[in-house]
Amino acid sequence: MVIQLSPVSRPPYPHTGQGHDRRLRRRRGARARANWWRVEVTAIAVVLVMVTVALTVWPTTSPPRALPAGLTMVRSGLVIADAFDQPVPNRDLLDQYVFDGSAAAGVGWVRADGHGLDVGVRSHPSWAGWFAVTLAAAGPDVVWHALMARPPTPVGTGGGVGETVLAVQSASTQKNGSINYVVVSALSSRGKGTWQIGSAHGFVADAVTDRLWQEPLRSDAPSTEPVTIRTDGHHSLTVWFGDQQVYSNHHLHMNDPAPFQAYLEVQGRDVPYVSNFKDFWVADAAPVTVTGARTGDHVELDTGHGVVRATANSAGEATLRVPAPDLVGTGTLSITDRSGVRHFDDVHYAGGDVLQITGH
Amino acid sequence: MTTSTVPNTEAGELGLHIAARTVVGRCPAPLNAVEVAVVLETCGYTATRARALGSDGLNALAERVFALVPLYSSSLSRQAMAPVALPSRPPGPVDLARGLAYSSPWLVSLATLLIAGVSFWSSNIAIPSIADAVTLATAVALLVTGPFIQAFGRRASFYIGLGDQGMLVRITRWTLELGLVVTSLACVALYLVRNGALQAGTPATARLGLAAGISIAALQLGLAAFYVRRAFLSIGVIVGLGAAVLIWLVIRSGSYLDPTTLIVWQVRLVALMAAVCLVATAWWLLRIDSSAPAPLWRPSGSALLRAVAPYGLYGLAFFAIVVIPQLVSGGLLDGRYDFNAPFAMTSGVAIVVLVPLLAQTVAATEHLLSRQFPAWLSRFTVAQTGEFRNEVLRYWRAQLGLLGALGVVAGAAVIVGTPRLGAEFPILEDLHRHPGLLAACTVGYLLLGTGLFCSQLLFALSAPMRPLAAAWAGCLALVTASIAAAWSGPAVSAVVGLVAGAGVYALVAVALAHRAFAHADLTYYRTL
Repeated sequence: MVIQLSPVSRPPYPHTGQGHDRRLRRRRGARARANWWRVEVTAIAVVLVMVTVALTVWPTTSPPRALPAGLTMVRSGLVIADAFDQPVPNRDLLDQYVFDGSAAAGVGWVRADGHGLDVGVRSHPSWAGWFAVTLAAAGPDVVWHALMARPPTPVGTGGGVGETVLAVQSASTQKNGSINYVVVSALSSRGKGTWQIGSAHGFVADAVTDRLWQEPLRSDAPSTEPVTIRTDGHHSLTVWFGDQQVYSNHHLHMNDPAPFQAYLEVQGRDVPYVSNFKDFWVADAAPVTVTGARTGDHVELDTGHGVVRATANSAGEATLRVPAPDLVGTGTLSITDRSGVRHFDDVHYAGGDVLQITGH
Repeated sequence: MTTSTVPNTEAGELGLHIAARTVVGRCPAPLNAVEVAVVLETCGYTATRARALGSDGLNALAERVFALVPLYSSSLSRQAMAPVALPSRPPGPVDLARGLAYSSPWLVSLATLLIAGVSFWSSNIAIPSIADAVTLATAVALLVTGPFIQAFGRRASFYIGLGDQGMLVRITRWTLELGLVVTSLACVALYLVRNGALQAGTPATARLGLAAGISIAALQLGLAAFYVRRAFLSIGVIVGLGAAVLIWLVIRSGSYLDPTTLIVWQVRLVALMAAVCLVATAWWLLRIDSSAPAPLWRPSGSALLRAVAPYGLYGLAFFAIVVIPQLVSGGLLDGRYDFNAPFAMTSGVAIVVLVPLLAQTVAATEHLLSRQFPAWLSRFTVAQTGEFRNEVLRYWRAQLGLLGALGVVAGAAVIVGTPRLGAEFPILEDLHRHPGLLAACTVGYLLLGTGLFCSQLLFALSAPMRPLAAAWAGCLALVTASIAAAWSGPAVSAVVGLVAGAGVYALVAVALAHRAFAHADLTYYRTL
């Protein structure tokens, strides 16, 4: 053991012979190293934001659309598009839809096996249902469309009832619990079937439906209909089956505020029942606009269901007013000017699209 | 160097004079022989060495040395070094209000929740896969960052005080930056297990969970330096701006906000706030004028690790008590995780009782360190340990009593008051359906707050091993109680675990803190 002989007042770390306190001597390059660290942290911060943005990019609700050479998409009017013609795992569907309903756990189910979206309920004693609802909401100036199908043979000879439903419901349910909606349904009961159009009002559950239109209940009622709906949620509702307008009224009192979500739904009692949906889309209820044409050019769009024509105005814009049931499809666009006709085949168009002609 | 040494065999007057000079060097005006004995002991004098100097023991040596003290201690030094009592008052409302600033991110988050009907921490997500992913990510972020934040908080303030920019950079790299790396790896592992192996949730929500985990961890770590620097106004500005953007987004969305859009923007805002915090930390908060020791004097990595390990392990155990009940409520004991909305809502509301408790903890701890200890040190000498201990115990009991009173008021307000808010705020409308769960969670968090209070006071006494023991005892109790109550369902099992874990933590922490205060001496500043 050692002790200091003079421990009282000497500084604990005396100066060195060079006249500098080595302990307090600043390290060479210390400032540069500290600045380098600051740059490093800044880089980490930038990378953090970029990685977060990249990881949180949500899958789009409509697939990318390839356009033929000479056409570019300036604006897309397609809000949602799901053909359901490819098998899709449920966990992928759940990025765009929520599955829920009044049926007990294990009774309702959803499957997309490439032959449409099947929404089903297993046999259960009470009236209950299951649905796939879009996470995205749209409207009021949009058109809703789906190819709806119920099982080909009407059910219910043994007493059961089944219903295939496409509902366009106010998304305000999320905040105020109101479940106001317009509905197109295919009812199957007592061995017969019928199609109905209605408007429903309720709070949280058990909405009351006002039936606005109904076909007679009959055994040979069609099991499949391409259904198109347009509504403002307040006074106006128009429904098409295929290209045929079956209901239109602009003096309703529905109190169904926009935006809306689509419910692809099944209801049933005492029988297992399956609703099938294909070619589901939602698009702006607006014309297809073609820009970049010369004044006076004739523009035609052959939708497969008919030809829509327009003439380019002084701004070079042609407005193609496609009927609501055909607002989304694949067609041929033709531009006729003094030098001849240009055709663009396999144009995947939608209402509200703005297509720019390039490379004259 | 001018010092030289002699062997440890000296005897007679020379050794006594050396001892007297040594004592006066450390304590220019000792009051009595007892104080001299304490100084001699701290200088390495033992009974054996006292006998070598011709005394029967240390006390006898101290009496002989005390007689020599006037030779080396001038009246001026006696007068100059005599204790002068500094004024001190107990912590008051202003200190409590300052303590509330610690909870400012949390309070802003709560205000956002109530105003906008949404939360930064995603407790109100309607889609199960999103709720699962984000709450799991939050749990991982809290659990993994906890140790690093505790370690940083303890060590960074030391190097700031020392004025060592180099060590500050080093400790930040080894705590905050390493914490971000470790949390990111943990989140990636969770992502791979859930998305790859288990196919749980959806692909987009799995990516969202990964992003949420990393960004929440980054925000936690980014705010650490703000707390060390007491930059509460800046915290309020950053978090307030983030909340304002979120509220604007919700209001602008009108009657419907796509839940995916909401959570995506929540996570992006958290990442942006974290980035701002990190940049501010590097370029502003941790920028100091370095007058630091040269590298020769810097501790090795292993020494650094030994110094911060107790704090890190405490952080891990504490956040485990916070997080594990959430996981248990989701079915952890059944090998699954499904977001448990009733438990998340009730525990999310009940945890508010921690706000006043945390404020009291901060007020009591900061007052103890910045005003009370200097005041005591100015009043008491080492020979007055008994009186000093009485004062310390009085302070401890008074602060614990105040904490208890605050806890009773806050607990009653939460249990009775918050279910009534359901009429005003839809986000709370289901609260009245779970009164038992709400009351139990409230009790659990009150106990947790009590444990936290004791732990912080023990940290202020530089006694990290005691809170460490208390937190791990609580953790063990939580796991045991949750498993024992597993038969009663996930929610009950979770809340039983929370109450048991927090209860044991509080009990052990109170007992150890009382013991520490009862045996207090005047060597509190011995380590950092």
